[in-house]
Amino acid sequence: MIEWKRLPLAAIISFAVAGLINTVKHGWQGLLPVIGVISFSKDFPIASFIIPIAMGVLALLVAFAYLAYRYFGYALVPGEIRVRQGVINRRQLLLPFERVQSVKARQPFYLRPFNLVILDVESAGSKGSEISLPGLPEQDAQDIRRDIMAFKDNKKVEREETTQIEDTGEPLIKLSLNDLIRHGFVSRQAFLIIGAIIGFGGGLFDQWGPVFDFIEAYIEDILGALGLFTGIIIGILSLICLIIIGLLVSILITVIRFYGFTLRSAGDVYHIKHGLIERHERNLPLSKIQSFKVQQSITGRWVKRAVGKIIQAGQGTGEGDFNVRKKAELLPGLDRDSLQRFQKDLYPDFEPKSIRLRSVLKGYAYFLIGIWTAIFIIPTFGNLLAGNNWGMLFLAIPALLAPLCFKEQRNRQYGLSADYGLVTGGLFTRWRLVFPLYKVQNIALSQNPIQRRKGTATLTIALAGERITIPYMPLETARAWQDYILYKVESSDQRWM
Amino acid sequence: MTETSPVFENSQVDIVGLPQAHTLDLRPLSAIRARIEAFYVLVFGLIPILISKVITYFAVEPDDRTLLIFIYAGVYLLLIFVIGWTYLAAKNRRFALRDKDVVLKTGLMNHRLAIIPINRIQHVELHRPFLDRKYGLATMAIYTAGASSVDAQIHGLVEEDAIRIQAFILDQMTGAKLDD
Repeated sequence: MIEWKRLPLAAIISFAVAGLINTVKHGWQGLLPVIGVISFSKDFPIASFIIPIAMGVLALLVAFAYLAYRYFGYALVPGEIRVRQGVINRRQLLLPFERVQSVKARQPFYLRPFNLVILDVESAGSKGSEISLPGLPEQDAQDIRRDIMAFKDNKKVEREETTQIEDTGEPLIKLSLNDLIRHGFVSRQAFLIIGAIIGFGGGLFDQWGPVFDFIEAYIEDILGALGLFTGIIIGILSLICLIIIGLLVSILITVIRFYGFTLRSAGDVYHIKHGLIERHERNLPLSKIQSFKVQQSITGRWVKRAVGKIIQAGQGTGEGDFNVRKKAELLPGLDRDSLQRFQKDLYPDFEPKSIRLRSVLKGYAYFLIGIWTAIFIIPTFGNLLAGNNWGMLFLAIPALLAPLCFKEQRNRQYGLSADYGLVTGGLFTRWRLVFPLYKVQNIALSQNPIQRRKGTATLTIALAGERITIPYMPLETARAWQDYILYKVESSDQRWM
Repeated sequence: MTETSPVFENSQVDIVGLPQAHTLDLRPLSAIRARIEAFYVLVFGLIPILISKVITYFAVEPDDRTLLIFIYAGVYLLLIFVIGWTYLAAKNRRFALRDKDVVLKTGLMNHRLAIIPINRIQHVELHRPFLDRKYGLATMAIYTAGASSVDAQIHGLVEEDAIRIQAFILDQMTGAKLDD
């Protein structure tokens, strides 16, 4: 008989917050049409509806949080952790300790007064096999973490226990406010925020008509007085204002999320800490790291900061990989120094300078141009059939894209050292990925008919985290890579995970 | 440890004694499996065609059926083409078992040589689909932790061979584990 344990009562806040977040996350799309309808019908008695609805939602949330709390139970059976949860769909999750990938403790601000932490136990498997204990006394969380790690590897116990004294050493990466601001500046979420402002602002504008009518009339007065040209300038200025607001919000979010970001090395584990309102803290065993990717966008090059991605099993960065289950560990706002310091620590015997990078063959560019042509040939024919000779202009688009295809091909480079592979790519956002050869899971060489005639091949290297494709290598090189990497994998007795 | 391999392209001989995958003597798989796959395509292709024939028989006026004849002729041609393709693709699959890896060559137009190191295999499954079972064949599915579908499906192994290969792989796997 399993003995189910209950969480402390204060954990109910966690459930409420999770419920609220879920409602907002999944519910906002459902609410959009409602907001739209309300916005368009100006006479809608908004206040008399919204307040009862909000209260109803709030009551439901609290009720659900209580039920979720009541039904939640966890049990530590020797060698595994079990959780039962769910109000409507009741589930029991079971996670054997040996499958555990990482144990993370985080303390959101609302749990700080109660001295509780949220413990996330993640496995290398699919998304469904994650267990989260939303609200444990800090000591219990430590105990569970130690139990799991002790089960997995006796050596790791000491390491886990050293987490408290780690703070003394010099961190490998320590981000200043300057770094974070630069990262926030680069981060793409700025554009999302601008989109949200425009969308939301539009709705607001319609809704609060009386207030805005006044402003509108005022603006129109000014515009009428100033003429079209000035109107355009004002339009551009307000767009710039929007961009600035978007950037500021983006920077603010970045600072809140990554405030005080430090990465320390403690032997065979990295200890990462960050967060202003919600403190995140986690350990990343080095043996679990499959590859390391560095990305730099155009704006990133401009502000001289790059993003690092530590890819573990079952993770990916999203590019060229559609079955990624989790996002890779993000190292934001890295300057050249901290990047090099970290890479040196992660892969001590990797010398980027000694690797000779080669671009993939021109065939790749022709292949890309071919794809673009194929895409645009259909509208061209359609237009020609319709008797519209201007449709031929569609074919100009692939021609215009051709230089970009060649750039993409030149940027796609590969190089090999005795123990590491290095692959780069990207057009605007450039990336480079380093992987130790022995971490490779399987490797395939493929050739389409054109490649067969030209003596080229495409190499697909599957790591446990990311899949790397090197298109259009010389056949001899591809074969040599395949044979050499296999030799490294098969002669290695290092554990890949 | 960090000496780079100098000019990798032309150093085939330099990496002395490295086994070369492309010179391997790859074995074809059972030809019966190719026929089974073609048969499946035939059956699953004919079902929708027959259904649509029944529908059009009732729904289309007899005078309008001339166009239908051409359409069906096209559909049948396509079906024959797909059957032929499936058959040849299945016949073209080659496979080899080495001490330390499994090699699988697939593809009719796009050739693909996938190699799975045995010390990276997570698990091996044997499937015996209905028709295969009748002919004593089995399919072996090999899984690694790799982030792609390169993991091999070897169709059309003779059942006894499949069991022996599975045992061999499991043997090598545990052997590799014990060395750790």
